[in-house]
Amino acid sequence: MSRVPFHDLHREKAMTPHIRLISEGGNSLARSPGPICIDSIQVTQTCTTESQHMVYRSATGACTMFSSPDNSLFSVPSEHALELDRGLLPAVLRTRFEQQRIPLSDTACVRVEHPGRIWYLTDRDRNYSIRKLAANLTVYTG
Amino acid sequence: MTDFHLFEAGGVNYLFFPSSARLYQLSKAALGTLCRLSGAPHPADISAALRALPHDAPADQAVLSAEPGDLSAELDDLLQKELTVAQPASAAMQNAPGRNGFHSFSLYLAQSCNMSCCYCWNRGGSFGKPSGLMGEQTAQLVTELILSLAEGSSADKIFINFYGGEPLLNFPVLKQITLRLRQQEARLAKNFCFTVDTNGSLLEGETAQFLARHFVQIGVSLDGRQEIHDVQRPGFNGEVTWERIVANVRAFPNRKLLCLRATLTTLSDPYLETFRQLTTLGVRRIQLEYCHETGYQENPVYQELIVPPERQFEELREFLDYYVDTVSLYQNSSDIPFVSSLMDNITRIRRGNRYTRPCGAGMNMLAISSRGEVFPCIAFVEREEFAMGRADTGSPLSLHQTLADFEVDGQVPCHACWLRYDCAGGCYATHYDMTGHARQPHPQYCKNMKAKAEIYLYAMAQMLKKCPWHLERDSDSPGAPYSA
Repeated sequence: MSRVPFHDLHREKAMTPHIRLISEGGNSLARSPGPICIDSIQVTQTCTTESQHMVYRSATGACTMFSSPDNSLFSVPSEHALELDRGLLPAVLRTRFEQQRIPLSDTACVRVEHPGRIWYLTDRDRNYSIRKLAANLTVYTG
Repeated sequence: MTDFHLFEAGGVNYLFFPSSARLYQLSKAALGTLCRLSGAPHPADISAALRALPHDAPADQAVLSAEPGDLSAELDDLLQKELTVAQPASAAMQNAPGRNGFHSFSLYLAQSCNMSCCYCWNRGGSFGKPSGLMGEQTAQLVTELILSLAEGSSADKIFINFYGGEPLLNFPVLKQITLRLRQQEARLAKNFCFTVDTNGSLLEGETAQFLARHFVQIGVSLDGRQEIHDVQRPGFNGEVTWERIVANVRAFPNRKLLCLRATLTTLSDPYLETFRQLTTLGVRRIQLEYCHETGYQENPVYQELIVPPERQFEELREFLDYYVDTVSLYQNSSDIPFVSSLMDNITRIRRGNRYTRPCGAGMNMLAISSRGEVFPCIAFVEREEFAMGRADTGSPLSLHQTLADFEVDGQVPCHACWLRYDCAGGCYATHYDMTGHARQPHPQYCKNMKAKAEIYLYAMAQMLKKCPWHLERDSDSPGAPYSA
């Protein structure tokens, strides 16, 4: 009789007989809500002082933020990246927003953050980010 | 870029995804399938193949469908889920006019020292230049600069770190700055949090009382057992120092505020043994660090003191196995010293915070020399090309271009590294030392970072299995109120 893999990992969440999730990153932890604070603690691996090591952890007031990985709305093919790079809103994006029941106004505008990779879309008081992921452009809230 | 990383540790196969920070364990069969699909031992090739597929086909499925059976489907599901996780992207750090993001100031109160440690990276704070203390007048200008920047800062907590050399050689000025900033807290509606890094030789009497009252953390350097410490950290005239420092630590009014820091060299005991030595002193936090892999070429004996990386990793693994086993014997680990140099890394991975920029050098932190010159961080002090201004001129601070606008996804070779959202480009100053370019990491640096990251991931897996409560432990450390 074959031995069940991971027979000893009783604490971790079971997934399949061959793949087991050990740590869920930040998504399931109360301390890492939606927008995750990007502070600078990582650099303290090589930083010189213990106090520096601690101080970096305070960066909440000055940190940069990124959207939670789980707030994607939809994806479109990456061929529309060129339009976005020119600051234009591709028609397919507008259509997809409508399908999501989030119609965009005529004033919606695109800002290029990193050409070919990251764009921001602002419509009235709503903000979205668009990111190239593999062969797709994925739209996120926030 | 590399979208996942496979590695083995302790006989277990792990799979880590940089964008989500999720860590999986794979069976041997799953590992074999993944490697076969890649056609090479490195999984990077798989992700490259996946990205090259037409967008209208389910990319990973197209590759994995060649593999029959449930295992292929499982891997397909996993990759499909993980490879569509959003890449971390930081928002532009733009401050409103008159506002800034500064939250941390390191002050070189003394660019001289009463000890002559063999590995000292900044030559007792002097960087090989004439030594000196910060004068009262300079301290006043520095304090006003801090107040003015703090007033416009978006941070509620402002950290002031007194550094050197030996900052307690200049205790009157330390006191002057501390009290002046304390007086202004209410007006600014900010909290100043004071920390100091000291060799501990002067940590006594009024000085100790003052620090215990006003400071949130006192870092004391102590290199383990007496024989080692006295060789590595002699007094300025070669005298022994261990006994006096240990007496000061034991007599300190509030030992919860102390963090002992040991630097490990080729002369030191192993990591585990040094830890055991320090635990006898009853402090809550211990930090052990190897001599940096940085150049710090100013010190000619430095290279001789650096512990070879493979030995470092071996010692780290030995320590972690011991530490996890020890902690797992207790349901409450509050009496076990918190090894901040490891636990901070492990906890951060556990939380899954992703980073796209290395540190806030020059953008949200500054270092100020004893002469009132402003630099991006303590490691850039006395490097004139990185000087940002002076405390007494009132003119705007100017940041060296290489430290501005860094994004790890746009930086070669970082953009293709599986560790990019944890390392986030690494330490500017270390890179500058090792390669001459603040943004260009040395290959050895990257190799060491990756090896250590695998050890931390392994340690996290072990802790989750054997003592998960210890991963919550940092909440009772002095640094906890500032945890992200």
